[in-house]
Amino acid sequence: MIHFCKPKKSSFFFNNKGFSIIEAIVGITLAALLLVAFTALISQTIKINHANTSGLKATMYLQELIEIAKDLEQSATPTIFFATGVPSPCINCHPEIIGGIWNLVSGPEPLEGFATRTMTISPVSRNPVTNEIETTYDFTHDSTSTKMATATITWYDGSQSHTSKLETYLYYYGQ
Amino acid sequence: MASKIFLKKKNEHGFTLMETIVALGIGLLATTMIFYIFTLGLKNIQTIKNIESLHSNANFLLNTFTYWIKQGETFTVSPNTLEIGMPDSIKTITSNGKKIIVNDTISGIAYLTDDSIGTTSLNFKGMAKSIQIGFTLETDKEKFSATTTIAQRAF
Repeated sequence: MIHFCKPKKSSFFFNNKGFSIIEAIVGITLAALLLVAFTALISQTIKINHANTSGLKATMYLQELIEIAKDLEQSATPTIFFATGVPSPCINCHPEIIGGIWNLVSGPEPLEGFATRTMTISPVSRNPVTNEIETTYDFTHDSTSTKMATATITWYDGSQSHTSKLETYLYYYGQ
Repeated sequence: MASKIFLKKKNEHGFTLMETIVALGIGLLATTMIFYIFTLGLKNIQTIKNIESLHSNANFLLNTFTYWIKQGETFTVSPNTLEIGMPDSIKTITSNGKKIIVNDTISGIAYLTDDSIGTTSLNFKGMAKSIQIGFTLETDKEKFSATTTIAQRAF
């Protein structure tokens, strides 16, 4: 004769009682906790990957601004060093290729929907005695042959916003 | 005496069919879940390794291009090839669709990307005093594209 149901036993492991509601709730809660923890782990990994890629791209875009400033230093000397009637040839502007050369266009530049970058070219003053660049700009000591290019990028990595800044000096070599 | 002890039958009932089926079902479910989680974890690790590899290759490429362009004296730019006249040799950079190749007149051919990395595009554009470089690197599933500019050195 085949028994499909066990006979009554008094042992803890062999009895006819099913799970109590408490046992079932505890079991389901533990399983849910494990599942949530694992899902959070995977989600966090994806976020970190995305943040790393965004950060690397943002750094490249930022470095590119400095390189473009170095191009303009040589190719657009009148605009960079001898702009008349304006305090700066570029305040919160961005570079664009127009006619095969880099040009400065006002306003920030959106990048791939996750970042915006800007460039500012500021005047620089030099100490008249030592000829060293002064930390605070003094318009009476303005150096026409030196400017400061500041590149700024703001990007969103999926969870938070970041801003990075790079600075370099631009020199007029007298070409 | 000894055989009596070992053969003594305390409980003649085994598991019922229902208990066995339920236990097998739960075991199968648990095994499937553990296998799925393990596989997902392995896939994640592989993805991270691939992305890390893409990033390091992209960094290496940009550092190398920057170094050569800053050293370069003459440049011949076409959409898919960049020729840099260095002080002592000429470097020609191009892609064969899989790898980025540099052919140096002195040191010969070298590859700038890993075996695990494919290069689906490499573009150059000559500007007044800089060179714009665009490239796409990819592994099996991940892809990394970048466009940047490197200025020539002011002589």
